[in-house]
Amino acid sequence: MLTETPRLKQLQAHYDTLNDEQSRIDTLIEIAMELRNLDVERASAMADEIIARASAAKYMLAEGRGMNLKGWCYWRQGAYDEGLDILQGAHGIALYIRNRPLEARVLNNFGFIYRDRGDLATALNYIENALAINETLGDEVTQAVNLSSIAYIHYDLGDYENALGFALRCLPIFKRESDFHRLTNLYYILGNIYFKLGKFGEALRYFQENFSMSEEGTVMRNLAVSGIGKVYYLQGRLKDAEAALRSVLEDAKTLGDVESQITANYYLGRLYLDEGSYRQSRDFLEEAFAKASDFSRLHDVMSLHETLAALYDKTGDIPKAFEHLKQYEHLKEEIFQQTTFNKLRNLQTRQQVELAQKEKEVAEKTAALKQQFMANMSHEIRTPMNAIVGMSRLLLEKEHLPHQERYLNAISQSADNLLVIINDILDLSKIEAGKIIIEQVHFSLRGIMDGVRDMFLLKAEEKGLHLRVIVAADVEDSLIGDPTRISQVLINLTGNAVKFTEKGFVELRVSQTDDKDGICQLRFDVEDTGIGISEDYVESIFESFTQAGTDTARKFGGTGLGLTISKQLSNLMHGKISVVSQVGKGTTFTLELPLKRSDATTAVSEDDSITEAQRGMLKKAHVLLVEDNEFNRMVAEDTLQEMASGIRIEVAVNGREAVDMVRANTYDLVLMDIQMPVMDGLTATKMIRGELDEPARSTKIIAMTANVLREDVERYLDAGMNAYISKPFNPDDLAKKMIGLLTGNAAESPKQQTPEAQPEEAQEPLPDKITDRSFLRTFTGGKEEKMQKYINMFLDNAPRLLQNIDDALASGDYASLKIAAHSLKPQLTYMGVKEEFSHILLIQQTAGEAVYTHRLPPLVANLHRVCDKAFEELRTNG
Amino acid sequence: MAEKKRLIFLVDDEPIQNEMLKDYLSERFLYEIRTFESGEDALQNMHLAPEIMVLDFHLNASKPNAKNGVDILKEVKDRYPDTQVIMLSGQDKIDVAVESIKYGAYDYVVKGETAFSRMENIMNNVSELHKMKTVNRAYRNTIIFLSIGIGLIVILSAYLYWMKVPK
Repeated sequence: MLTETPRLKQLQAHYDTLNDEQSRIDTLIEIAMELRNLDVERASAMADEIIARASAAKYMLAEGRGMNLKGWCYWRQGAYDEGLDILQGAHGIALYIRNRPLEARVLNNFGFIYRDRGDLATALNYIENALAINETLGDEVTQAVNLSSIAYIHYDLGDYENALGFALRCLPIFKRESDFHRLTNLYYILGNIYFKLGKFGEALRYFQENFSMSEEGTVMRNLAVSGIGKVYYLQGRLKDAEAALRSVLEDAKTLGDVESQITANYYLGRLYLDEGSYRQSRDFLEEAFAKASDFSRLHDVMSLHETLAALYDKTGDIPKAFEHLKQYEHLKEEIFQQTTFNKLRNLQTRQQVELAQKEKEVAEKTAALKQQFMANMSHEIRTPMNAIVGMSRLLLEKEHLPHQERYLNAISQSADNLLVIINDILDLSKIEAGKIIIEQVHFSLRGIMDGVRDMFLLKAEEKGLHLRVIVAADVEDSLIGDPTRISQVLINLTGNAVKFTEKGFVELRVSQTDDKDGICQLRFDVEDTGIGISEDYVESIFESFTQAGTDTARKFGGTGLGLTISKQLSNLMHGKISVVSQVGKGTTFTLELPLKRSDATTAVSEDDSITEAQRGMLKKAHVLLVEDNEFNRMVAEDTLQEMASGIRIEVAVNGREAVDMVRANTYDLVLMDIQMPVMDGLTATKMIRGELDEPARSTKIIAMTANVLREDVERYLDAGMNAYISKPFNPDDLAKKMIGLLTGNAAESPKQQTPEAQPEEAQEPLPDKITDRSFLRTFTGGKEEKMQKYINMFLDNAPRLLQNIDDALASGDYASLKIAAHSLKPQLTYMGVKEEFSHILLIQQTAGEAVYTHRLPPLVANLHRVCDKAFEELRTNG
Repeated sequence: MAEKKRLIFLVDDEPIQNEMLKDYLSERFLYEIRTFESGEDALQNMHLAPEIMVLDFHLNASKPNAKNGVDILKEVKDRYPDTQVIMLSGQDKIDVAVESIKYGAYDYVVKGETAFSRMENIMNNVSELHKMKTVNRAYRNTIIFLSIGIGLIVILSAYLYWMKVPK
């Protein structure tokens, strides 16, 4: 006995106890499997015995396994043809007895042989098939074996990063299974990969690990030593390298181990080549070359051609060098065939696709959680803020000691600042979640500009700055757009300008650059003489606070979100925001916005003042206040009293109480909080509207809420509330809303609140020409008749799809709507109609989400408008 | 052996998509191309053994009862595994890719301006694959043919031998 491992002894002992031939053969296979790593010759002989005995016992599975084992031994010995033959037999048996695990093993061994021969595409094919089988079988260990084979192929292809990835995936599996031999093999691969990656320390570590795990006089040990030898060589430890490689060579000859023989010869050859001993070098290299060619190990042959070319180049034998170089190039071509790369790419894509899907699921969950969190935070923060803001305001209005006023002002100011920050954060998250909808209402531009000026006049005066607001005379005043968002952007820009300017002026200019088809192009410039922005910072100034520099923010305060929000808002309004700045001189921000001219001769301006008669009416009102938070109740009560002393207020602390009180008494108005214990405001409202008798049933209800997302507001109004006021509330707003309801003319209905209900106003400006034939032109190579053919098909087909969309919308069949939109989308692309006008992708996505289907009608109306224009252009301009 | 023209099926319920792709491919490949507006029509013609089928993911925009692309894909892969199926989809969604690959599609392509050149690349790859398979099959046929030939010769010579011996 040459070598004995404990496992081998144990198996042998077990074998002797068995009587049944089948079990004996099984054990024999186990023994051979163990032995093959130590002594290929004996394992090979044993495989023959197994095949013979299994065949005699008509035990087909064992016969197949024996043949597979024999194939493996042939592979190890470099007898590839014989190996392929016998594996073919084993494969046949595996298929015949339908044994999938055996089939996978045989396929994997096929892969080994083809890999050694340099036919990587075929090798990969076999191993992939093996992997597919093992994936269905769910056997992790054999999958890992396949993965390590794939790592080898990546390694051969020179893709070491991926090879490393695959190899490292197997490592924990083999470790867990304490699969000694496979682990040894894996260390060898890892050593080789790190070797190629140039990480010699790591490589050496794995080869040494490999060395210590393998038995003396085995192939594995020899491979480990050859690995160590080549690391030494590249580390420049030439003496050590030479000693190691020479010892490998000796052992390899007695072991009949081809691989380490070639490796050792090759590196010895290179070593002597470096040293300048060309004759010795040539002997070794030619020896390696002969071996590699004999065993048709294409990959080795290729490397040898390269090195031999270098050698003969050095010795001056140019024709030979040339010949080798040519062979090298030829082989390289053959091995690194594009097909192999393609296949690897497909394999990777498949795995990436699966990975991406998992990531997407996680991301969606996270997004939903974030949404929920923001909604909660919004409520949790605004409720106490409401109390702070409200009470400090009430205190300021009451009698207080003079020195207390400073404190109260400070509290008030801080609370306001905090509110701005919170609103910024909430705004940004709303924009990111696509929850901000730009309104389209009539407004007065000069009104907005006055508002902005009023807001900063005092602040500018305090700092000694000139604040100028200049609106050019030709600028249209009555426009349609979202005044709230436009002022928000302007306030952000002007606020920054005032904040960062110490002396000089801040100037806000408005001019009209274009006026066509009822669309005014407005240009807002906000110029200051402040500290300016350095050039490298200008690029990133509109990015979120996370990316921008933090030092400025620290110095001047603020969240740094203002500009990000401004940019996003202006994008949503189809506008553009830009900046020109010089450090120390000042900055000019420019906002360009397309706005529709309003047909109304005068923009609707709200009457700000509350008349005495109205105030008198308020004072006589009988109001029910429904609010669970004690502090907020105090604020609301006191505010109402301040506003209209003598007003009759009754209080309920939850929705259930409110319903009972409305049933029992008559109120002019109910102020209803939304989130409350026992029964929330929405349910209470629905009960009042649905279950009570007149006149209690139609009591006016105002929602008081911190949730002012549009969809929330819509929910309140849908539930039957008449109006809403956001917390913390402004007393004037509250008074106006209350008066409006009491006089019965200012009820907010969903119709007024949602831009969707005003489709004729929700339309965005369309460009002069909506179609673009450049794609078609390129596609057809400029052939008119072909272009015309496609255009005609589009003209025939698109109206039908539009009709489908209409029908589906009318019948509420959103699934069909989605499909029709899906079909229409590419066609529109071909005709050059851009998504930013057609919103066809948005339609398709919106139709897929039940919550947002109410947004569809205006989108579809827009689509009609866009398509009609497109049809017309395509028809006329043929 | 009769020279059989290599065949591609294009299956999309949008005629314009079919037409454009047909024109594009016929300018670049020597395939015979047939278009179908429903998966069912295509399935009825599968006996023509198309080498490649380009299949739209959504096939029921106008006919709500039409079978969907994935159903057709499954059926084709089930009954005519030799046909390589390339899926077309209007949207770049990972689910579509996963579905397609899962049921054995060769690749999937998102409709749009770049779809045509991508399709061309894929066709080249498929064509390469097909060539290899065909060559393999031809080899196999040759071998069978040769062995039958040799067998006949052996039988014949044995016959002649036995016929002669008694004499």
